[in-house]
Amino acid sequence: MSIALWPIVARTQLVQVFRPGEPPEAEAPYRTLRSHGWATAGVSVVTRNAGRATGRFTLFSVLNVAAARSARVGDARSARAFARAAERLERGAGFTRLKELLKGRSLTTVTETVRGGVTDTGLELANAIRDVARETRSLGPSPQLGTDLAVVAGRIAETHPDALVLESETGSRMLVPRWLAKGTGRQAVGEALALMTDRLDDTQVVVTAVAAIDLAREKRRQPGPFGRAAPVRALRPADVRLLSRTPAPLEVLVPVVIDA
Amino acid sequence: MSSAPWLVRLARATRRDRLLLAGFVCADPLVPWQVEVESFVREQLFDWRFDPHARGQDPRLLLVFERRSRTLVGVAAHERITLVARTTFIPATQLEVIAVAHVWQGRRFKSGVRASDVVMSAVLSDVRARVPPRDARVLAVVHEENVRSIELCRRHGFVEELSRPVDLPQYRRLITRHVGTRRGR
Repeated sequence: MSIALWPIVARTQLVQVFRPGEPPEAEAPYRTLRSHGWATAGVSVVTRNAGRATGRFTLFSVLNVAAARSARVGDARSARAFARAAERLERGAGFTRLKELLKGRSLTTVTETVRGGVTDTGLELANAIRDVARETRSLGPSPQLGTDLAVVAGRIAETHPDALVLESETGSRMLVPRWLAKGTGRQAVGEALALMTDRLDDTQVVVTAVAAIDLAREKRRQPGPFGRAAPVRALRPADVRLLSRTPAPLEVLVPVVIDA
Repeated sequence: MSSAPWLVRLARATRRDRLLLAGFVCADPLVPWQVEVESFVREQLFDWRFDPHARGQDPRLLLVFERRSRTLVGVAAHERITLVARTTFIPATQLEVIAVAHVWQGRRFKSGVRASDVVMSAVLSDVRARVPPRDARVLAVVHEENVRSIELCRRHGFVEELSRPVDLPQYRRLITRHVGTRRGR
């Protein structure tokens, strides 16, 4: 299986998993997780805008989400194990590299990156995230999270006005409401996406859409010049100066009639 | 009705046209960037054109046939885009792809006109005719080794060049002619 969950998360995601329904920005749930050793301190990145420091953003290994979920269902032992694994990852080379690449970026860029969008931030960052995802996976098969959590990771196979079709690597297909995927920034055909279905009790379930990432060494890992996400539209100052001149009328060498 | 040896029409949202594109061959399989073009035409171009969420960009897909045999000679696609530099936004048209079928590359129609010139003229004619009018800036992104396409672009007025994309330094961004001195502010 080459598609893995996006390996970095924000603190709000830990809170959402630990205390579904509570405001994700709430601090108390995170403090509870920390006090019991069920979450790491995360990796802090200084954000900047126009060269000025604007604050700090803390990102976490996705294993903290597993820890938070284990804590919620009362499995303290697994929660601590996941948190310890997360801490090892966050101290490792992958996260160190990630922190270096995100340092000094705007808050918008950092939050977008954590959410799962790296199309505008360059190959180097995308590869660093992929390395962290590989490191996460290399820790071994996911510890058993019980039968109450189902994760389907795959690629968006089709898009429709109100929904997307997510096709897993096993070939199964499921319909995902477009509004659910919107928060991940993944809505185009070919993009990796995962759906987590978490049973709260006999009558309630939480469905979460999260970004995913393809770990396979394929040509498509490199951005190409085609498609609407192709990184070909950014301009440098010299480009802007060129384009500030008046465009000449288009030249058509061969008269062509286009049939209706 | 044109009596030219070619026939140009817009792609239709039909299974037939999807299959037509899926069978398009334009690449030397040993040349990666050619394979990339072909893969895009075969696997993604139809959905690119008919993506309902892209209507605002006015995507267009033209098919060029030899009139007599109805053989698909080439495909060309374009849409409205915005070029961006920090807080500067410049409208333009991007040629998403121009591809000539492998068997037609380097060939001419019976009238003596190059097949590639017909395909390019078709797409530029379409850009020019769009309503509301498009800004007369047309961008083509071409692999640096694609000498034929670079020459084709130059023949058709893509005589300016932007900086290379940061993440795709092996590609060149050719743009149509601009005149005069810096305008505006």
